[in-house]
Amino acid sequence: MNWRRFGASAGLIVLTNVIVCIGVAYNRGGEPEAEIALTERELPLSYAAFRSEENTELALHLRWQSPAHRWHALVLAPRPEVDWFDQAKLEAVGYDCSFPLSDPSAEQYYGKMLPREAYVVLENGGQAWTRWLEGWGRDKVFMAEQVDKGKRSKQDLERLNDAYDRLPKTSSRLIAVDIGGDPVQLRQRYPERDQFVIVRAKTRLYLAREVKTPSDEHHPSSLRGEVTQLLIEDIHVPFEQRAVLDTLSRSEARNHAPLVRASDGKEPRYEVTLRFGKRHEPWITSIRPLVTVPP
Amino acid sequence: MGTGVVAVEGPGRDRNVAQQRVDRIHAFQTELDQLQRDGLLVLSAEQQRRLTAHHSKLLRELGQQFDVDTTSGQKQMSLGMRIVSFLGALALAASVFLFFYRIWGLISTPVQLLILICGPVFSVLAMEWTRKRERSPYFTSLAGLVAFAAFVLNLHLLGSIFNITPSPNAFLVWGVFAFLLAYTHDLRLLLVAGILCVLTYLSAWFGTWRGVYWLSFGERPENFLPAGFLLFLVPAVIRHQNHPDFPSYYRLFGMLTVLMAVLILSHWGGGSYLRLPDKNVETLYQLFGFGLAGLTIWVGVRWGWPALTNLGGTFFVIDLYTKFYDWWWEWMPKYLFFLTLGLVAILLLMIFKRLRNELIKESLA
Repeated sequence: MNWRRFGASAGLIVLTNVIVCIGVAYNRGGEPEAEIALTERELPLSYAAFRSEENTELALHLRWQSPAHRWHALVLAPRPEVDWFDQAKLEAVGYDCSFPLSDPSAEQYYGKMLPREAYVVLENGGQAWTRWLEGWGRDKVFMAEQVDKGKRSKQDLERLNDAYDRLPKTSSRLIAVDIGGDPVQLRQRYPERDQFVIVRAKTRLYLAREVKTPSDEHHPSSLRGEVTQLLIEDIHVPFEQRAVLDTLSRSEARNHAPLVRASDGKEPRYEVTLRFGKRHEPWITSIRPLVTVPP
Repeated sequence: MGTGVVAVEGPGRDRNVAQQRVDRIHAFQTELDQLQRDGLLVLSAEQQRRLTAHHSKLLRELGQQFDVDTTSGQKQMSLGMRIVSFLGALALAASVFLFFYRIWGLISTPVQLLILICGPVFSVLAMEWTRKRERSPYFTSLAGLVAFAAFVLNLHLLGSIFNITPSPNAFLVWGVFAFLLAYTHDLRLLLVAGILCVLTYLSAWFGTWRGVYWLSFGERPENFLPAGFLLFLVPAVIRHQNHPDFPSYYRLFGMLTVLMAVLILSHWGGGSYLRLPDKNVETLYQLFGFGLAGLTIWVGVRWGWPALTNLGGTFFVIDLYTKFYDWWWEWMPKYLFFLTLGLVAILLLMIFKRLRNELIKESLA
């Protein structure tokens, strides 16, 4: 047995694990960067939880409402509350937006821009959620007008009404409200740590071509941003915290029903306290049931 | 040791040297038989007996000491064992992954952590144990691949358990671990694993250096070019005295990466960093691809690296045929298209034959 050779390999394994654990301790040490209470609406069971017994992991999926719904303006009412990711924000994230939009090769230039990482501010409920609900209300009115003008069918309106009656009760109230490259500056702008969380995300730039919306608004060509993905979307449920979720899944298994999610139209069944640390990485500190589950 | 050259010591040298000696003895015996049949060299009975006894003793000793293949049958068996050990390692690695996925929701975080660390450590221990008991590398190779898979699982699940932001640094650590095992135990499969991990890390690093989110590095094939060239140059700065076959892996995978990236860019100009019209980018990379493939063939011939010559030849033909497809597939009758390909192959054979004849002339001179 060559102990030196073994020591080198084992040492690398142990050292790497120690470094990772120090990073985790640093993230979770001291005052949390943010702490919010979310329900099943924002944290439904991840699809991983629907797998067979081959994978016993339990994770919750962070659901959030994306800004810059790029096609929204073309089919429904204008939604300024989702249209904040403009050129100034793109430059703050690090995109080079100096190439003139009037140049014929602007589309090719900006089409080649690759995704960048940035810090996104997510607001839980509050004003952002109120504005979001108002936007839905405007959509319904707008669609009714379109039906009256014969531009849309009654079925379109019924489908929209059906979805929009359900969504305000079940969809996530976690809404992206701002973006930047410096999390410290963002925290200064949004100091309420129980309402605003700052997370790392992947963003993309796109060139929105000149367009005339169905409401006859004229939008000139502009550079827009899109938050395509949060870097951590599936949050691991530690063994110590999974009792509530296990009870729910056992109860449903007894009734031969598949696991349902709040987005399927049901009221949320649990509330999760989520903390974010110095590296903006989250962890679950508690899960509380909101419904009584029969034993 | 030359200036600026690092020597890498390792245990594989003795076995490799022993195997080379065995191969030389067999080649010598075959040639001696031929010379004796042609009447050009006749050994006396006594000389023949002493030589045969000497070779038999040598082969027996080398076989006992280094477990090398002393007959062609043994060589064929070794190849089979190599394949079986690779497949076995894949199956065991899958088993390790699936076992942990099956149990990790049922155990507490400290126990998860303990199992994740112990997995690769015990696998490395198993490597050392098999190495001591077995002179052939098959069991050690199998345990090594399981150790690598267990370490990959270790860091991947640590990221999931603690919700850590994905980072390319994991590939660097996996690469270093694979290299450590490859060099200390003379294992080629782990060398390849290490090369691929470091290749991924370097490519992601070049991407992030350009400000791109690291997981998007694959959207620009040019990120692979510096990484491929760097790996190709590794044997030029690190001398592999004790692992004589390792440099060819660096050269092969390094140049394969570069040629693949160039081939992709020659058909997908939109994937380039260059601020040029897509068609111009594609033309540029097509020319570069032909030049590079030709240069690869020349380098392979010049320094006697047959794998590189074959790689260059393969990419030259792929570059050529994909271009023919672009130009002619749509408008040419199919029989004529394939006839053209066949004629081009004959033309290439004639060019290679001429080059070969010139090399023969040079060697005779």
